[in-house]
Amino acid sequence: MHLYARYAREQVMDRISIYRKSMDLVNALCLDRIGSFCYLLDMLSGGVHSASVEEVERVVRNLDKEGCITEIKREGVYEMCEACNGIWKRYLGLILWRFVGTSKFQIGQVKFCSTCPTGQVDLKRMAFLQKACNFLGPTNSRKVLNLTRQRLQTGRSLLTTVKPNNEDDAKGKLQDPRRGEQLDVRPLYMDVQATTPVDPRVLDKMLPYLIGSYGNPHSRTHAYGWESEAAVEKARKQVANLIGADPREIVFTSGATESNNVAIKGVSRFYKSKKRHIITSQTDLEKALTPETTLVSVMTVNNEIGVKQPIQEIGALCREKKVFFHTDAAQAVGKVPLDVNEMKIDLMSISGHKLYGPKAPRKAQYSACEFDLLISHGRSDSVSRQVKSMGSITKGIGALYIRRRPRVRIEAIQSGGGQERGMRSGTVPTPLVVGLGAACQLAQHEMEYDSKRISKLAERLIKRITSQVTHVIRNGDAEATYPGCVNLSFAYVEGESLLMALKDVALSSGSACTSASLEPSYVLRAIGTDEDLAHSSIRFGIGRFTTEEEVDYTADKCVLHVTRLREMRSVILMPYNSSL
Amino acid sequence: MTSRTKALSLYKALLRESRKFSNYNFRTYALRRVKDAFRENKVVTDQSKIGELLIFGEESLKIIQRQVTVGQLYGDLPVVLEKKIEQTS
Repeated sequence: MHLYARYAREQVMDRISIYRKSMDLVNALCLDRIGSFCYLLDMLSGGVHSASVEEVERVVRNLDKEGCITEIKREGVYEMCEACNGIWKRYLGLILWRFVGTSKFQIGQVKFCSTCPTGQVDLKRMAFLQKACNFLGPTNSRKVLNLTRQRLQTGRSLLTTVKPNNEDDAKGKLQDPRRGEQLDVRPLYMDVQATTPVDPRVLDKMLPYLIGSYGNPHSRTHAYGWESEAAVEKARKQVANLIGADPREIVFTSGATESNNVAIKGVSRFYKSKKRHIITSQTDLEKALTPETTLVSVMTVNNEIGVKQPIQEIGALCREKKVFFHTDAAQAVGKVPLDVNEMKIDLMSISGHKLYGPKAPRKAQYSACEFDLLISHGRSDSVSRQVKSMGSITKGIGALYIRRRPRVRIEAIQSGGGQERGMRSGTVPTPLVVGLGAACQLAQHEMEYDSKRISKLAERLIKRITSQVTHVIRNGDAEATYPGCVNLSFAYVEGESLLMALKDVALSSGSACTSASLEPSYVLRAIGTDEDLAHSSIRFGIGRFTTEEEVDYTADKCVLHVTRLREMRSVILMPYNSSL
Repeated sequence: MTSRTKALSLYKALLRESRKFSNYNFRTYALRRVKDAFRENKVVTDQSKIGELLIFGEESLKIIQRQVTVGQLYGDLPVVLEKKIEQTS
């Protein structure tokens, strides 16, 4: 074995045994310290991007104060090794990161280097790494693994020791779950596919209905009711105008999730005696259609990769075959021109909080995407289970377009006071509806301006990134994509590590609903993206309020960290290659 | 007052109020949108159209004034960029 490699091996063994000893110590103490310990591992692993030696020292010193980490300090794990130019710290870090960071990749798995630039898998190296990690022992490693997973999934702090001194200070400040410290700045928001900020012009229209004009729009006996009813009807008209529909064809719901439910379940239940087949995917639609088919449901713009479906063609085909056509246009309404008559759409779901309107709660968002996921996987039993729990979600705002001519009949999912012509019972929330209406009107007014600008910014982002790093792949067809959604895969970089490193930019690797799981996106897998690349994808969302500076900052940070993470990889792999 | 001077004073007022947004994104958007809208409509000569646009601008001014106040009521953290700019200047 190469001299260096042997040296390296000894060093790793040493370090890991130190970790193991200190873990025992830490185990005997409270959770906070384990949390701190995890944080330390995280930093060493490059998970927290710019962990300087000072920063590591600070954490170590804190732990030291508690008397639980003297050993690490003495051995100087956090210091750079002069003999090998700091490789050691990083190397160890990466092993542990691989080990604690994700449950998906065990250290011995080939995945670690199957995409590496040098290509070949070194089994010896793998075996060595496996052995190194076995050193931690099953109990300790599971503990660290669980804690880290918990942190990844909940985003909750494991470091609860730092508490604000007085409550006023804490108000309105962001907490960084990784540090338990208060941030005095806000990260840039580049995740507009998850949700958009409420446009001040929308809020301005809503506020009066949250203050003085609080009437129930269904009250017929007094001025409070009339006033609210007029506002709701005005909003209905604004929504209808945006998609070229008649106001009578709009039903207000709690969001796109509920709209999808009412549409898909409502139609299939109404026609169940005659036809019992639904299609939710668009590949080879013509072949998939049977005489039994009642409904075809296709997303207008995909939320993860931004791909636009050929809605007009699908609509024409469905109309010709006398099949109802539903589209979930949550990501498309107000961003791309849509006309229900031109595109022959029979049912369309609209969401308020994706077009700068008022917000739906997190739960509803989650369910929306899960619903898509289940449907697209054709697991009807889980769908119905999912749908059963849906009735209670009544916050947030959305709308459903239901065609009148030729008429689409639906069976109501929810029973009650018969509001919205019986299709969606429950008091219509006037302020939210007014907000949705205002957002729609605004979107119509601003669509051209916004889309020009968003295309320009998207181009700027892609250009800036691809001009500085290679092996960047854009997921989804570049032509048929909504420009505001840029989904890039950075080869040889794990998306999760990159997201963690880019902590001052709010980004995600895919949809908000699946961001808790470490599985790669089902959308990317469905379009045949290589599994490694699916793991390295990041979604950049550009919206109405995104600025050039934000795009530049994001691109530069991204380039910096991709380069760093790739370098780290090659530095680690290099010594071994030279030993072969 | 001619419509030209009216437009100019409206433009100045809009920019002045827009600068007061405490939220970085809203502030930059408002400034950009106001400038672009005036640039776009510079060529309009139809008097009734100008009148409409002026009314729209005045309404927008009121919205901005109200929303600036609302924004300031709760305060907002600066975004990373602003901090960076502060440090470099």
